[in-house]
Amino acid sequence: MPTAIPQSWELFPPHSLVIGSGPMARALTLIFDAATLDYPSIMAGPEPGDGGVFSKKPLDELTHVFLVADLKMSASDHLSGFEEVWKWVEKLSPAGDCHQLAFIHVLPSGAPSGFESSLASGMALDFLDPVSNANGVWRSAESLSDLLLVLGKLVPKDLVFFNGRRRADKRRIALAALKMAAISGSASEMIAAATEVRKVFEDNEYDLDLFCSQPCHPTGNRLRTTLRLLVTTGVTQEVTEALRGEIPSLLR
Amino acid sequence: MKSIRMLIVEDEADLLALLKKTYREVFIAQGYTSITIETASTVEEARDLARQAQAHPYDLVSLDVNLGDADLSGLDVLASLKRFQSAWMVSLLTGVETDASIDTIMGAEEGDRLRKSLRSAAYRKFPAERLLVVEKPSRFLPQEEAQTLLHNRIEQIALVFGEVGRLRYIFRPIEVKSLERVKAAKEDKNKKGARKFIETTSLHWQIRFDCGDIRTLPHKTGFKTLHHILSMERGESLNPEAALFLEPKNEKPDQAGSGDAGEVEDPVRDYFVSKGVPWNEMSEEAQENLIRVALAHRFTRYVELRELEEEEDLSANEEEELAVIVSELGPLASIAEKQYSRMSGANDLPVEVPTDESEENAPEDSSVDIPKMAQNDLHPQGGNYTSRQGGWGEDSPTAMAFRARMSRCRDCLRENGFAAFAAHLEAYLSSTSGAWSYHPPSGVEWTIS
Repeated sequence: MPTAIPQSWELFPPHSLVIGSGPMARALTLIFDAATLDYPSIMAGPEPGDGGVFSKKPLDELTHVFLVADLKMSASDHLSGFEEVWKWVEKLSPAGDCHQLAFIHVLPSGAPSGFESSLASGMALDFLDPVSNANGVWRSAESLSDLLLVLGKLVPKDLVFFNGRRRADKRRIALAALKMAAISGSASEMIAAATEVRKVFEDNEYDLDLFCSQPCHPTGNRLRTTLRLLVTTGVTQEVTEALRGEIPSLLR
Repeated sequence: MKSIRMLIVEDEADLLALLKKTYREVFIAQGYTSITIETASTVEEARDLARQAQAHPYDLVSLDVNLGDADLSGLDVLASLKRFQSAWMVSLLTGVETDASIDTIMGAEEGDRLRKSLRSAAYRKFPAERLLVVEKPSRFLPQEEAQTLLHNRIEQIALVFGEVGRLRYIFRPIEVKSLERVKAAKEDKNKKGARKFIETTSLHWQIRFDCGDIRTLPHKTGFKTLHHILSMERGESLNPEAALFLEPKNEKPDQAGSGDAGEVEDPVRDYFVSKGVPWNEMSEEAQENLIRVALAHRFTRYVELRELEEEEDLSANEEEELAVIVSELGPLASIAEKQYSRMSGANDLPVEVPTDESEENAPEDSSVDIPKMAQNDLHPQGGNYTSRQGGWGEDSPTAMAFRARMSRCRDCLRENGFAAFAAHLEAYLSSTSGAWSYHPPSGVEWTIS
């Protein structure tokens, strides 16, 4: 069920938005006088107004988004939040995909060391950087002055920028080709596309989770099995037809 | 004075200089006296300028499709120009249209596919009627020949720009034909095929403001007045009385008549006297009969339409028809309404001509001397000069109704995606020296028919 847009956003459009729940999210909401949404609410998408139309005022003035991760969340769950924020902005801001935003990823001190690089990989970036790609990282064990330092460096970017990066990303190109082959290609095209996907993900097979639909890790496991089946075992016509329907649903 | 403000987006420094020089020469030759050319050499720079030009759009953008950026291309700049409505026309420079080397490298079929996909991608990003896809002269051509070719193409762009520029500000009435259901007679309701439709024509308005899209809105009270204002010559003005005469639906003839002059105002009497009827010599009964006769031919339809209006089932063209009847009835409209109120058992209702919501803003004081106030000047800040009070006072009811009508027009435009148009009217449509005038900035020329 879509999330009702708080009425106060219409009157006082927020400048900052905190995504998450728990004490850290609440503290950031207070400190930055921000609006807040938990992950389930943001994932449900915004509820349209009368006549199915979205008002373009609520997120018109949004400049900063704090994505607060907790220890239970994987990088792909966190990335889903990032994607959903853009969907909200496209619907609730007049500038849509040209609306510029800066992100602060607030990570728990115990988050795995590869968390940041996985996030960057999912966004088709080499690394997260406040200046060149509008993504700042702050671990909750660091001091508040470090957070302010990151905030000061942030240069906002719009979705067109991120989409441009994604268009040029080998991994996304390979996955898009796999999806296309599954929908309309021949069995040999599907096998070729699956081979290419395995090749571009050979460095870190588990990065496939970043591109899979929720729940990301189990879906990623299913996709890895499917790819292995296609590439190494070879499949009958019947199995290929069954995979046609499955592959697109596994991908985000 | 013809002026143009343009942006050239090109990453090759030599070509950028050549484009700048050629555009300037061509526009000077075509009589432009003020030419401002800005430049950008990267996608990011161009997109930033597109964002900044939201308040003051470029008249023309010359955009290289291939900007040497790894991730983004000229098509992304095109999308930003559309999103921020910050360019009126774009000439998209490509290098694939007729470049034979493309066919040599990719094969004729692939080359053709590339051209088609580029065009369709571009037309998805920007309105096709304002986008020219132009091929850069091939780099394999001799320099002189390439320059001549570029000059010719820019001349063509400038000519198209001159033509298309006329449709930048549109506010014109159009007739929209539609099928309307006719109510079936009670006994026919359950019969097969009893539902009938007739073709009706209703008044709509085609609107475009600056770099936005053309859209059509149904008629709204006040649009005719606005149309008149936009078509006025510079220096011309419109007083509220004349404005409400254009669309007389809001007039309240019954409010007139409690002045301090000796004789009581009676618009009905004045109406018949103006037709040569010896009104004062007639008995009251004869006067009433005369009124009935005058009303007869319009009254039935008036009642039908008023019933529909009360049921909130009045279509746009019926609303228009009711306004026409009210206007034709003139001062008799109040009598028609009185009669209608009696018929519908609402004798205790105040007697008024059917009005729209503007009346909320009209003053309630019925002792106001309307004829006198109508002569008063409007105050620049909203009030008017009353000779009776000898100072700045309130608007006359007519002026107030007119002001409310214009405000509703702006709200309607704003709600329908023409916020910039509404803001423009707020800035350039003003009431000074007793009348409303419109002083748009240079370059705003309305297409009104």
